[in-house]
Amino acid sequence: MDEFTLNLKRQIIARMNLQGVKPEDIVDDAPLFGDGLGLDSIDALEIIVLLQQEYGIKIASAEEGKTVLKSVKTIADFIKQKQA
Amino acid sequence: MTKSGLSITGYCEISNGCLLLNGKKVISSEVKTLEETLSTIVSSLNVVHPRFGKMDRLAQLGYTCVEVLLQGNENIRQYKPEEVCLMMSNSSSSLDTDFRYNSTLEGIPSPALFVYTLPNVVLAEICIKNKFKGENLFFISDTYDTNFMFNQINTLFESGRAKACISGWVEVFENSYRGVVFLVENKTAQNSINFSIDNISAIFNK
Repeated sequence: MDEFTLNLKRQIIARMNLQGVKPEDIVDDAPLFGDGLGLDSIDALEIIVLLQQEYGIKIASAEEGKTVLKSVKTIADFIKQKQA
Repeated sequence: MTKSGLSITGYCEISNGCLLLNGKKVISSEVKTLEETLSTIVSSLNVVHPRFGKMDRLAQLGYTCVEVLLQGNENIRQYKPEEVCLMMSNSSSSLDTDFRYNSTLEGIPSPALFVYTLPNVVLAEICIKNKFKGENLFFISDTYDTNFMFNQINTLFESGRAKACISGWVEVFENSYRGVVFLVENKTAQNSINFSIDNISAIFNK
């Protein structure tokens, strides 16, 4: 796991108060919502806030949000793309 | 004052670093803060829940009180979800979380904090966990209004809307906290006591 993804997972864990979850427990391309990490719609909003606060990135639309918030990998790719 | 048939079949208190179940001290923590007291209780009694970390302090206290109260109580599952009611109160409403949320307004407000800026969300967390679908009410008053709550609970039973009711006091504000919950049922059980104003008062004054 690269340092960028590791840091992102740590931020998600801290922001979501995922007690007992370690970065290595989150599979990069596993779904974050539903059967995956079990996050809900409020958590989705928290991740959007996280992206704004930590990376200065806004998600433009609900459709983009659905694509970006699929997994840690899609979020990381989105951040890297915006920062490029 | 008593009404026939109704009993308090269990009660639980979390305050000042201690957990008391049916009047007996189960856990006494050296550290008295709410966070560390709840951490000790949930790990010792294995009542942790995936959502626990996401809850605000008020919901964590109410949730833990009820989990301890119902732990090992299979009888509660004999009721239909619609027959189990909740009726709680406190004096500070959700002010503890309101202040925390207010402090986030200067930046980007936290959605996860915002959803807890109502005191009755503690009832929702308890209902979601236990799949209760009965009437639930949260009142704000200076102290647990024993006479009022006693009459309200009796009305729930008399109207046929409740077969069981969890009532109590769940209060959190800054460093102060106290959770007292009790289960009222239309039956007697081992160690149950009559549902009466005197006995409710006794539970709060133990």
